[in-house]
Amino acid sequence: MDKQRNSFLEQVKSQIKSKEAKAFVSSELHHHLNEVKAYWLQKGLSEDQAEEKAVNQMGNPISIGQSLNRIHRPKVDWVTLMLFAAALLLGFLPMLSQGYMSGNHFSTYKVVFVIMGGMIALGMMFIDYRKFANKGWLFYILGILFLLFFTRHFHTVIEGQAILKIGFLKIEGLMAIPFFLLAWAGFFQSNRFKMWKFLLLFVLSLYFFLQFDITTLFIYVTVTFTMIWWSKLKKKSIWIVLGSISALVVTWGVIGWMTVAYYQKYRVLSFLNPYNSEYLTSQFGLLKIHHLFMEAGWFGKHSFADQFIPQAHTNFVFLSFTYYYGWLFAAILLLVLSLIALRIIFIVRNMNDTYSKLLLVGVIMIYMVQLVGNVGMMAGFFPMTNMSLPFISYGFMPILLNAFLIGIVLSVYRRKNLLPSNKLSSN
Amino acid sequence: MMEKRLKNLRKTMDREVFAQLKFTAEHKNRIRDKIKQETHNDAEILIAIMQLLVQEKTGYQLVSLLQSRGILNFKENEGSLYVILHSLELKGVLKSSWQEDDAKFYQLNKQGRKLLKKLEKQPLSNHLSFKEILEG
Repeated sequence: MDKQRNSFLEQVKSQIKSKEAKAFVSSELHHHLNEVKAYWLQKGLSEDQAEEKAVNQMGNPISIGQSLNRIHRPKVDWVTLMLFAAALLLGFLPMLSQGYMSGNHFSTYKVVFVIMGGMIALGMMFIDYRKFANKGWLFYILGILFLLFFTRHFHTVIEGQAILKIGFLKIEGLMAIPFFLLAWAGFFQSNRFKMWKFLLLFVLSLYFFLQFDITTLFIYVTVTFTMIWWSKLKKKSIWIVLGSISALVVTWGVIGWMTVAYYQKYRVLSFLNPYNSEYLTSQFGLLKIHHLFMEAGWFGKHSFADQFIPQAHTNFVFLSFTYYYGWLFAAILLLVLSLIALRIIFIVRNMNDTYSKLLLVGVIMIYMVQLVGNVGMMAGFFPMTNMSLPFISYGFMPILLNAFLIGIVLSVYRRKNLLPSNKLSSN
Repeated sequence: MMEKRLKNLRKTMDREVFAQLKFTAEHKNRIRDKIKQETHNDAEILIAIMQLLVQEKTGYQLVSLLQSRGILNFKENEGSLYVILHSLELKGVLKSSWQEDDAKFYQLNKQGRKLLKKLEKQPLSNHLSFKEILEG
């Protein structure tokens, strides 16, 4: 009896690529067929006749299926993908400039990192991020466990950064950020999430983050404090809570100032007053940076700068890059990196559901803090810290973290046209 | 030569294809319907759909209401209404909710009501397609 209906629905579904779309289109059409059939039964038709009528009234299953597929097919965000590839390729330039490409293990590692980054981003694209929406707790616990494990087991501390080495991969505290991104996005999208839960969870996580470098802490706090504005919590209570936290931090800072060691004061003062020669005698400071930057000119010096630029391929990669390739290339590099951020902002503006928005807002913040922070270090409005330039700084972390972010964007974009249906999540 | 071939073709067609083709009453009715059917352009259909969706409705309810308004474009082609509904929803002018028995209800949201007002005010050119109206 259901044969005609099933073959109709199968034909519609055969034209639709997306699994989710198949499911909700099929149940919607099922309902329609039931209603039409009920109408004809009431008019006195037999069961079979009514069924046939209902199916015939629907029209051509193939053309309906094709049109629906055009609306619901999974999409690849080529713009982000191209910018991502461009950024990864630009990441090879600093290596060339420093003569590392000739038979050095650095270049092999770099290639491996880039390939792994690409695989992570593409792999993430195929994962349905919406499955994570109600798993905020899972990611929170994983994040905390990671931090806990990390504080117990890190091997070396390099320039104030705890690092865990697995083979040639260096794992940093920064790796905890993705867990907390997914955790907060999951918490904030829920209607039942309360402010006291936020405070409790935030303070607990802060306790662990405080044991790491200031960069990770800074990224974590900025991202969380931005994402909360897209949560379902009341705006007024967010103002009050964030306000009082800031007030606490300022008081703590004032009290702390009287007790900290000299070199810590030195760091802060040299940031606040970078051109004061007293603070520049021993360190690689802003004056030197600006001098090198101006020296580069439009087309660069084409000479290796790692003798006089410390951390020339990590923290100061933008400087050594500019020094070698010149302002023009530096501008192109900045343009590509900024376009990635702009693209994500453009995508988030067209999103309707809270969870996708929260995730993308978090992604934008993590990315922007790195970009603005790293360039800001050279411009002088950001303190000298371990902030890497996304995709460009040498190392596994800058690529891994940002490839993960790109992966989230691709995953969200891919499913942006799959209607957020409460029905699918409930069964 | 050509003549002969064509004649052969005609013979074969008569024997093979047309023999199986029956002009049934159903076909006749369908053609009659199409002749009777007033043609409505995309803009008119869109406005009618949106006006009806000021209140929450399912696709099924919408089809019968459209027919009673004299819009017969969805007769024997009811499935295509869902193509329009889904694209309107993705455009962000409709909100939807699933209720009992897999019934999906559609209703204009704030943005949709705005668009409807705009469409009702300005006379639309007859040749605009759904896509052009929604983009513009």
